[in-house]
Amino acid sequence: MNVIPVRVEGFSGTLEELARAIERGEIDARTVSVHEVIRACFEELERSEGTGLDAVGGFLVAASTLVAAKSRALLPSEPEEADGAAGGSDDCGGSAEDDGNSADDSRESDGNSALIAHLMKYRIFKEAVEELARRDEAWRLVYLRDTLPPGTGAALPPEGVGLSDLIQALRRVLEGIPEDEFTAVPADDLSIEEKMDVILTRLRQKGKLVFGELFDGPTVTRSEVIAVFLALLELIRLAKAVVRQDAHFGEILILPAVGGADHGV
Amino acid sequence: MEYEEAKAVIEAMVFASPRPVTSQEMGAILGIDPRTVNAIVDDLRQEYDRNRRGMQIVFVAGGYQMATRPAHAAYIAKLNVGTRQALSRPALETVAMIAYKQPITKAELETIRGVRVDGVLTTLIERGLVRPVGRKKAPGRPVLYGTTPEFLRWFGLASLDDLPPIEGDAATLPGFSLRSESRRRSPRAGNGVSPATRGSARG
Repeated sequence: MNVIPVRVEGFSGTLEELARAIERGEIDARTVSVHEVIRACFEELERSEGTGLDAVGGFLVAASTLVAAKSRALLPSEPEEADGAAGGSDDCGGSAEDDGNSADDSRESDGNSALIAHLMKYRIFKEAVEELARRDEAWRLVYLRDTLPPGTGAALPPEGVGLSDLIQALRRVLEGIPEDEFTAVPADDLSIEEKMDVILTRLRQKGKLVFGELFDGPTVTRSEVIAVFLALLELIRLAKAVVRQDAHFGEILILPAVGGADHGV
Repeated sequence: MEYEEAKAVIEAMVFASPRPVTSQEMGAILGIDPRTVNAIVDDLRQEYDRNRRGMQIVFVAGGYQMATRPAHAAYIAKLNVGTRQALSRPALETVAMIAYKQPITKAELETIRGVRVDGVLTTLIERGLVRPVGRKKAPGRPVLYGTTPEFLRWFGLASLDDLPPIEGDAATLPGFSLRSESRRRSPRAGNGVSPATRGSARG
């Protein structure tokens, strides 16, 4: 029947016996070159004429067991062996020495994930984060005298323009625009960030903008107006733009904030 | 220069400086030893405490800066000078990882955190706590991120060495270049977790 003699270091017997021995942990799978074993078996099978179905079937079962056991042995059980998984799968074709090499190659790129495992294990970040959170809270109460260049930052809220003025101006803009028509076509994805970019770019180019100019595109929809308006509010909040009204009922001007954005307290 | 005069000038410089001012800078301007500057600042601090002044001098991001006292935060918040929002948990975790492992790429951060960090990273950059510091010599030349001086100010840290120490185990891990063993707290960097521990408690 399927009595295929196998001879490897520290073992001599049939392929089935070898597979079982490895499964029982009597032989370290990592020391066995699956490639060598299987090549020997093939030779044996070829030599023995009249290869029966039984013999081939038995060989396949034993060989699969062997490969499975070897893969398992190479899979990571410790963080520093995290690189074993890749080596195990292509092992049928490679020798044991090849495994060693591929493990070394992948060690570098996996160094990070091994490190992460360590970090998580030691929970070191957790503690550091806790303390940073405490510091965040504590230092929130301290106002540092600070990096605001004169005339910025604290210049909020807008000079002479309240939110209600802005909203009134917005209402006037909206009056001139028809209701959005609803169609089956989904509306454009309106991005406030994009609108903020557009406003900032135009401010850089022109130095200042009149409120109405913000909404002077060829085919402005109501949703677009809202998006631009929200973008303007966001820019004011981030101190990247200021709004000013020189006279009551005058045009509302949008100006770039002096000195740019401030990240201060 | 007379001592009291030097003290007044130092006070003026710390007040006027738009960023933390170092004892070296002030020493060079005044032509005195930076250590003398430190001593004079300490003197000023004690004076502020003794007289229960509304301000204090803190040591952040490598220099001295005027600041209010935590006890008065509620009043100042009403002044409408803008209160800073506490950082979210993801933002804290991300900025901590950047702080300890900088320079670090976005992909590395995402591997550590196991989630995407685009939004958080944008927030951190917007708040000025994190900035791109270069590009990694790797495929795609990904951007490397690091912390800013504003990060130190935000958390009241004197320097990166002042970060909460990390367990010794981690410091020796490969690729983990934290000099936690050799870290030594500068005597000037005495900002505790709570800024209230110094100063206002006395008085």
